Amino acid sequence: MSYSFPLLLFFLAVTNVFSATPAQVKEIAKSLVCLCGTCNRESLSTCLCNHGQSERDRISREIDLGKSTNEIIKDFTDEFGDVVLASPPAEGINLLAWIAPITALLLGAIILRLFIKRRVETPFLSNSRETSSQENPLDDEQHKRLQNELKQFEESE
Amino acid sequence: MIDIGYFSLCTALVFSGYATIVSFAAGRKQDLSLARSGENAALVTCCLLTLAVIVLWHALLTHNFRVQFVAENSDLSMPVFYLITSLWGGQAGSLLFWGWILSLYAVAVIIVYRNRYRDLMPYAVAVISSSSFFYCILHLFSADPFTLLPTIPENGRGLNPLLQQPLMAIHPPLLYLGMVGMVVPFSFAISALLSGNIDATWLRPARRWMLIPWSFLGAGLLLGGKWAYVELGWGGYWGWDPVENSSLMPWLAGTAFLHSIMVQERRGMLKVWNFFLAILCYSLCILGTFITRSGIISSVHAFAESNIGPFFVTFLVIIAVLSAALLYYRLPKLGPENKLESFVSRETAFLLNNWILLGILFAVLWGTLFPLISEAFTGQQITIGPPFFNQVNTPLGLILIFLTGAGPLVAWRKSSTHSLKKHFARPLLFALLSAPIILGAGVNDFYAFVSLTLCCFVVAAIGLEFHTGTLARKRSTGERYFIAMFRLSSKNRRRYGGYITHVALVLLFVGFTGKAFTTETELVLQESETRRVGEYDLTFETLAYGENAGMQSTAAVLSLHLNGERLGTLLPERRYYKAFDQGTTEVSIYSGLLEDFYLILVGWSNDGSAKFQIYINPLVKFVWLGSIVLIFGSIWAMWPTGRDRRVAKVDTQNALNMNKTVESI
Repeated sequence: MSYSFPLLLFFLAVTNVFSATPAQVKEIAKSLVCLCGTCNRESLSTCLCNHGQSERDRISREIDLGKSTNEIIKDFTDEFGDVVLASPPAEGINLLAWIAPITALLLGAIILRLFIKRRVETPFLSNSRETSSQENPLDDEQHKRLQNELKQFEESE
Repeated sequence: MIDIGYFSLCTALVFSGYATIVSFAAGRKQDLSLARSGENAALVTCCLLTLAVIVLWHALLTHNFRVQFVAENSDLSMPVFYLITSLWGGQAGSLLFWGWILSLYAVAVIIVYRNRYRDLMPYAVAVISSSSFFYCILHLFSADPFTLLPTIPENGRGLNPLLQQPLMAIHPPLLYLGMVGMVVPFSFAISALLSGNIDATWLRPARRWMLIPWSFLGAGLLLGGKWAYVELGWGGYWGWDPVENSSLMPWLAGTAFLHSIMVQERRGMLKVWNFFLAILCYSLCILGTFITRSGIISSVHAFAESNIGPFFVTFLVIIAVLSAALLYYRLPKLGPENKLESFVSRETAFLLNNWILLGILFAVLWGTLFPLISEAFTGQQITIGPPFFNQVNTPLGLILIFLTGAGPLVAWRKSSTHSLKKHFARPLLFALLSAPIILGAGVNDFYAFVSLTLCCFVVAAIGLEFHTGTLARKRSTGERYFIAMFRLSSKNRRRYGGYITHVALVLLFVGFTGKAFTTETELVLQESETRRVGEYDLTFETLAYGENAGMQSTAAVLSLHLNGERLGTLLPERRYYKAFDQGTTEVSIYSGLLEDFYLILVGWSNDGSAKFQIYINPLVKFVWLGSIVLIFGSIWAMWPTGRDRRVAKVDTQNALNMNKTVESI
């Protein structure tokens, strides 16, 4: 049949045999990526290419053989290396991937804290400012004056 | 004709170089006639680049396959629309387009500020022109769009099929307008540093010209998400792809900038930080372009690998080193004018906002570049995909959304406990009351629950800001409620435009939260078979085939029912483009109010059965709605008010008077 891509044909032959549920397969596939070379390491759980399909079938078969999630993932990393994992294992140099953002954030928090502390005035001064500004509600006389001023300001615009 | 294009690029190189040097000299001497000469050279550069773009467009439209770029990115069968958009479908053309936009920005800035900011403008023109100069070098020596082929092919290769989609036609220009435009705030930052006029003057043009590219970038990012959603067929709109990341990063830095400049304008603090952010923004744009175009990191968006990388790295290093040196040189003059008065103040809220935005930015940058670092040490490739970014960024995003609501509630200088209680009580109460409703609606995911509750808090906080402001205005003017609200918001565009974008962020977060509840189903259906998916009944009617010169297509015809009511026909499709040996997935989506039924045709078999992948994506509509509100809010915030226009007029008048005085002397 000239229309169908030969690539897509074979799937039915194998799909119905499995007892592993698609949800189980997807769950494992989520932590892996597709390495077909054309779809740029898309998540194996969503990749529609042929390679992705056959890799999911493989996960399904391994589930049927009674392998655990970790064993299946290990099979993949043994074959393809760590590049097949959707996020790097937290070990060795790759531990840095996880630690650096958290460290940066904490460092930022410390710097911020020091910065604010250095810049905050003595409590005495800030108290005196506070009483003189914003926090005091206006009395009626002041309110009226404010409204008039605002009105004039808007009209002058 | 093609020679004209090449020649105009060569001339543009000369003119942009001239504009850089002369404008710089004009800045040093504060010489108006030199400055005008530099500006004119920048205008000529723009005209020449416009000519080059027209020549390339002409070549595309007339199918001049002798030009390599035309042969590789278009073919005879393409409609005019895609012939026009194929200008940015390949490396050389899109770089030319990029350089052209840059020169248009230069012209816009020159026209708008012809008589204003005279001490800053020459330097600003010099900085923008130097970028123009760099891109001209690229056009001529690395990615020449006018390279000719030794033989003329009969037909071109056509545009990458993934790009033959209306959304994709406008997504790149918007992104470019965003990424390129960040040069303007950067140029004003540098001009302030160079001129020594380092008070808050530069912030005014920088703010406006940050808002413009920032809005374009945001719109571009979201359109890109929409494109990915309907075109790539994986049920999502954001994949933390290196290229997506590299345009998100400047957007985050720009967001931080737009917030932190308020602290400087209002309180004379964070001067160094604001310069740093403006420089960071532009550097991230260059870095992003480098990541996208050098092919250094694998990505869906990658252009063909080329020798363009070293050019960008050099440019980036020059920018970073010179800017840092300049900033360091001016450091003694950049002390704060005021002190923070309290830990609990708007200033602190802005600092926290910057902290979290840059935290997200760093995580994204780190995740994008770490595969290179890791490979350099171990020699082994690794992947950093969505699970990493989601895990790191979800908690940070939640803090950000909290600050979106909480920040505006805290007073400048110092918020007393009394004022805090007054402002936080009602939004917090609203959030507390909505929490059980959210739980009751079946939200059992921790992050999703926190996110939705925080969204309620923010909506209440911003709603109250609008409400109390409107009431105050109503009291003093006697206007009707909605008129008062409208006038209030249009008199204080910056503030209320900002609030509108905060509402947009809430909508976006509600949309993102929906991702936690996506359900996936895989189905094999025989013809005429009906199967229940969630609440829906899906009937597979038949397969349809089609073929034309460049493409084979197979579509499945399905009908969708909900509770016995027919919702419509779905036509998921797979296409195969011969010239590219590439298949594409045309998703079919039924978009309801609260959820999308997202259907993909995975494959089919000779016996007439077909396999489908279905995602039921709740709340996706909020993402698109949020995008529209975001754009609306930014336009609202950047629209000049009457006061802006008057200030501009006075500035211009002063400048003109000064010119006259200078001339008469």
